[in-house]
Amino acid sequence: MDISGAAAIVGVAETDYMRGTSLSVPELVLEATMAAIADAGLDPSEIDGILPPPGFISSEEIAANLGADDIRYAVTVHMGGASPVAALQSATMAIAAGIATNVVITVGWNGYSAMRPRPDARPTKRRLEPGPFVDVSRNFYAPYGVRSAVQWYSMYIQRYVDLYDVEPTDAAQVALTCREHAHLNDKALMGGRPMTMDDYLASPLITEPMRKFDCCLETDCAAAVVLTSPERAMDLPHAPVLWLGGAEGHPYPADEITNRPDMLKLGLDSAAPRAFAMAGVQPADMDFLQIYDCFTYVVMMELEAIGMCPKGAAKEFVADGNISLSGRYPMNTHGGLLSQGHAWGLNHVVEAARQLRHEAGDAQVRDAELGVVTGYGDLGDGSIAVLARG
Amino acid sequence: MSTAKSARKYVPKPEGLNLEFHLACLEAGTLRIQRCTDCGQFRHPQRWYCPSCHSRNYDFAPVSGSGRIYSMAVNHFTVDRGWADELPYITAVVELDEGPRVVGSLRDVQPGQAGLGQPVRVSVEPRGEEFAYLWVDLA
Repeated sequence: MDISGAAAIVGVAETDYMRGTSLSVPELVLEATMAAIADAGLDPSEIDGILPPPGFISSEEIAANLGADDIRYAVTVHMGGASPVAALQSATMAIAAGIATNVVITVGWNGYSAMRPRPDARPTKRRLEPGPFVDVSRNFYAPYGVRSAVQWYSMYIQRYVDLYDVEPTDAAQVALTCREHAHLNDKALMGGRPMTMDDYLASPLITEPMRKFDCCLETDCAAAVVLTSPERAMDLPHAPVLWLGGAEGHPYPADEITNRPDMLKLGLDSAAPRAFAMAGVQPADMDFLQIYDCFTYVVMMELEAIGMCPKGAAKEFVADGNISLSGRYPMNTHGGLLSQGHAWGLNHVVEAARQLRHEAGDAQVRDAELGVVTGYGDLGDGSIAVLARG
Repeated sequence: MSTAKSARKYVPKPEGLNLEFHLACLEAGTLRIQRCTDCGQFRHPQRWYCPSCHSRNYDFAPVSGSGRIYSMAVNHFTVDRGWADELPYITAVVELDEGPRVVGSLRDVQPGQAGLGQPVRVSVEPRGEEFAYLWVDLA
């Protein structure tokens, strides 16, 4: 069964990106979900497929708020930040198979406030579910003071920078470009706050080689997208954004970093060739790139994994304005997780859809017809979608 | 390192196969690694089945404890209060001479003084009755 082009993104939405809010995560998720459904021109009760985030709120609870009384498909993808883009594949499969008609994918979290609760905030039992790798991380890494994403990933990024002589000034290009693009986006947390190379180099080391400005923003926010069949999309208000191809990939073993035969092989390395083959296009055909940017160095590894450049050549690829809006491959035109905000990369899907609808405002890539979105999460899981203006 | 600091550090409560690993190390006083008793392949972390031959038979075999730094997390910031007084600290990934890789604390080494490929030795120290803490020292 060929599912290339079998579903289209027809509605997108995101909340404000905040660092501190009185809104609960369920309220944020429902705000984004309702707005995405309205953007699609659908009634909430027409939703019959829900892919909720791994935690905070269930598909059942979302359905009960939507008045969606005939849910036919509900599943949660457990791939951390790779979940939203992998969810596009799952939603497309459900639509292509005739299992569901109108599917909503949503994520949201209190990435800032969870660690800094307001003094007057009532405690909540709603939590992010632990990742599928938690049994390994708590038994083998945490006892040695390694218990956050930047620390886990440093275990392969140390090898990456060592093998390919990657300098901080190379990774800085990713951070500086995302910051430039944030200035074009009203919703970006870091819009209007310039960053220079000196600022970057002066930011403190977190886990080598990562500095503070190599790291994404802790954010309170939610986002949502709605998919339906291309036929149905023709009757809806916006230009449909076709899912031309996509894939998920898992490093081996996915739940443990250090005993991988090749520690530099990410899930995306196996996923990307399958996605491009399904879509029938090449990486060089892309008009823009929305790359999951939890950390600058991870972006560089992803660019190589999806075939934008050979292994070790990302430092040249991101240099000289190539990934700027005026460059050949504009990347993270919304500012990314690094400078817009962190909605688990569903904000990258929202931005890709806006680009392909030609509604990206000051950040619009001229005549954008084809773009790629990646996801990255847990201990190197990857996901990818090739999207086209329908 | 003072006992007070150590006490504040997180010590897991191992279960199942992971507990068997720790008990094997604690009983021997040196590092033991799970090994398939049918095909002889080492595996770490512990798995019920040998991923090579799918045998369920295993033991916890002695290893030399010597190896090289395969990678490391050089930590200048921590969310873990138990480690705040140790900053900066280095968590090493050691590739043992026998093949498998283990994670442990590289001690008495400052950032910049150790690099990938450097020879090291891994030793175990009891943390309570059921957890074998892994220390890494430059060889």
